[in-house]
Amino acid sequence: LKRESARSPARGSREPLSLRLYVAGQAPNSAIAIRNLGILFPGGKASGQPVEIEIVDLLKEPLRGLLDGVVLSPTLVRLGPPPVRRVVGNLSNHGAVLLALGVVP
Amino acid sequence: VTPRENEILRQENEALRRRLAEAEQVNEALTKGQIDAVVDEAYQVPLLLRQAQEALQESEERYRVLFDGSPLPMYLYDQETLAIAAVNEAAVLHYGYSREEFLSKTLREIWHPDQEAGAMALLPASSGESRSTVRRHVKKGGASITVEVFSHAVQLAGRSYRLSVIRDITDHQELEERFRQAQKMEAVGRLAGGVAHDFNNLLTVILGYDDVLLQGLEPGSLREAAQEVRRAGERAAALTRQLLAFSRKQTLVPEVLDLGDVMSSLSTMVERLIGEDVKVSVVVSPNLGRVKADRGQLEQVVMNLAVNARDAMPKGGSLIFELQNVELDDTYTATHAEVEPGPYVLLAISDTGTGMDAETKKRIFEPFFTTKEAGKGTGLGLSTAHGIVHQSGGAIDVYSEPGRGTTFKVYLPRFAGDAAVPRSLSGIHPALRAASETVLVVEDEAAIRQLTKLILQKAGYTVLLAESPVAAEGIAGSHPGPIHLLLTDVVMPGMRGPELAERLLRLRPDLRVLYMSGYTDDAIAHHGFLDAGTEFLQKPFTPNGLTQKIREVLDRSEP
Repeated sequence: LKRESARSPARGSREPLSLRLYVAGQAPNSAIAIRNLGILFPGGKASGQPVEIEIVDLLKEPLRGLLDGVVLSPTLVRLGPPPVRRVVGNLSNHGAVLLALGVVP
Repeated sequence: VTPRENEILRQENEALRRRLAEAEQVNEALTKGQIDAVVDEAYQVPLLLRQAQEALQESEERYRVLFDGSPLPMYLYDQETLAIAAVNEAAVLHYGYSREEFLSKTLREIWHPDQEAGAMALLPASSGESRSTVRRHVKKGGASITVEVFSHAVQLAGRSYRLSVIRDITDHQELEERFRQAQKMEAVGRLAGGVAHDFNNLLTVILGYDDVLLQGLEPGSLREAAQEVRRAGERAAALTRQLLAFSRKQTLVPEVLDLGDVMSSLSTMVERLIGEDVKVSVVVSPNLGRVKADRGQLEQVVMNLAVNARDAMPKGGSLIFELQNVELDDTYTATHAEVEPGPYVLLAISDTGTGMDAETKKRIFEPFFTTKEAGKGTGLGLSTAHGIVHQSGGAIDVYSEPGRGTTFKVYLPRFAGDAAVPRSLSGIHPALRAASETVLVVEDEAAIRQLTKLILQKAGYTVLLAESPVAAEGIAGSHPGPIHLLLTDVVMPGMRGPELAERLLRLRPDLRVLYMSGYTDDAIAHHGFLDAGTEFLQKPFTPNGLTQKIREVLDRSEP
C-alpha cells in the first residue's frame, strides 16, 4: 500500500501525494469539493509533486467510508505519504486545505 | 521522566492537538453547511442531509419574490458611495431605467438637480434611523416626479446600506395644489361677488338719478358733467359684471345652443378684435352636440380667450377654434372635481403665441393676475371665463409651452334632451306710448325703490311700493284696482322673489312677473340660473332699460 511505502516528509519528495475524496453522489458540496480539487492541484500536481486522487462515492460504497473511519461527506483524506490527514467540507477555503494536507503552496 | 517517557508524552500531546484541530475543522464545515451526507454506522448507509445550499437558495428566492413582487418601487443603496446595489421590478417599471442602468447609477443620478444640495445635507445626520422624506426624482427621459421615500438602514456583509421604498405622490400633490387653488378662487370669488352686489345697488341709484339729471339739464357744462358721471358709471357697471361672472354669482339664462352657430356669428367680431396679423380659423367637427348655456356669457368667454390669444401674438400668428364632441372619463374628472364624467362639447382655442411658463400657467385664472403692463389689462378676462365655464357646469384647462403657443380647452356638458323653446329675442319694444298700467315694486333698498318709482311714474305707470315681501302681500290683497306687473328683487330678507311671485299669482292669476337682481345669492345661485323664459332684469339698470323691459313683459301675448 502507498500508505506504507515511505516515511519521508512530502516536501522535496518525488513520491506522489495520495489523496482520496469521499463524496455523496452529485450532492452540491460534493460537486464543489471535486471542482476545488481540480483548482487546488492543476494538472495533477502540487508544487511540482505528482498527486494521485481517488474519488469514492459513499452512496455506492458506504462500507468503504466506514472502514476508513469516514462518516461525513465530503471528506478528503491524505493517505500518503504519512502522516494521514483529513479535511471535512467542500474544500472552498483553499489555504486552509493546503495547510491541513501539509502541502506548502 | 525518562527520555523515552518524555517522547511518548510529546507524541500523545501532538495527537490530541491534531484531533482537536480536526474536530474544529469538522465543526466549521458543519456550521458552514458544507456537509452533504452522514454515514450511519448502525445501518451502514449514508444519510443525505437536507442541503443547506438549497435552503439558502429557497430563502433567497423567498426574499427576491417579496422584493420584486412589491408593488412599490424599492432600491438598496450603499450608504457611503450612494451606489445603487439592488432594485426591484416596480422600480424598473416606474422609473424606466433597466436593471443594469439602475445598478450602474448612484442615488445622486436619480435626484432632481434642484434637490441635490438638500438631499446631501440630510444624509450624514440620518445614518442609522428609519426616516421618510419627500424628494423629487428624475425618471428616464427626464420627467421629474415627487416621491415619498421611506428608508431604513440595513447591514449586509459588513457594509451599511439603506433600503428605500418609494411612493410616487406627484398626482396626489397636483391634486392638492388644484384643490388649494380652487379654494383660493372660491374665497376671492365670494369677496368679489359680495362687493359687486353692493356696487350694483349703488350704481343703479347713481346711474338712475344721473339719467334724471340728464333729462332735466339744458346743454351746457353741468350736462357735460352729468354725462361724465354716466360714462364712469357705465364703466364701473361693466367691471362689476365681470366680477360677478368670475364669482359665478351672476344670473345665467341658459338656452340650448349650437356652439358652431355661436362661433360663426362671433367670427366677424373676433376677426375685427384681433387684427389682420392673426389668421383665424374655425374647425367644427360633424354631428357636434349642443350645450345648454347662457349665450351672452359664452360669447364673453370666447372673446376673452381671443383677446388673450391676440395679446400673446404681438407679431401675428394663427388662432384656431376647434369644436368637437368628447367624452370625459374618470381619469380627467379625478383631477377636475368640478365636472362629472360624461359627454361634453370641447371648444379648443389654440394660438401660436409666446406661450407661458408653469408658474404663469398656475396663476392664469386668478383674478387680477396679469402679465400685461400696468393699465393694459384688468386681470379679469381669464378669471371671468373661468367663472362662467364653471357656473355652466363645465371645465376649462390650459396647455402651454413657452415659445410654442397656448391652447385653452373649454368643456361644456353636452345637452341630451330636446331643445327647449328658445327664448324670444324679438320682443324689444320701445316704450313709446304712455303707460297706464299698475306696477307693484318690491325692493328692500330704499334708494332703488324710490328711483324705480320715479322712473315708472315718469313713464306713466301707477306705482305701488313695498319694502318687503310681507308688505307686498298686504298690498296685493288690499289694493282695490288691478295690478298688472310685479317687479321684485330676487333676494330679499324673509322671502325670495320666486316664492313671493307664486303667492301673489294665487291672489291675482293675471299678474306678470319681472325679477331684478344685482347678485344672486342662494335663490338663484344655488341652482345657478333662472328657468329659461323667466323675465329678468340685471342691476344696475338704466331708466330706459327698465321701462323697455317692463313694456316687453306687459305686451307679451301669453302670460
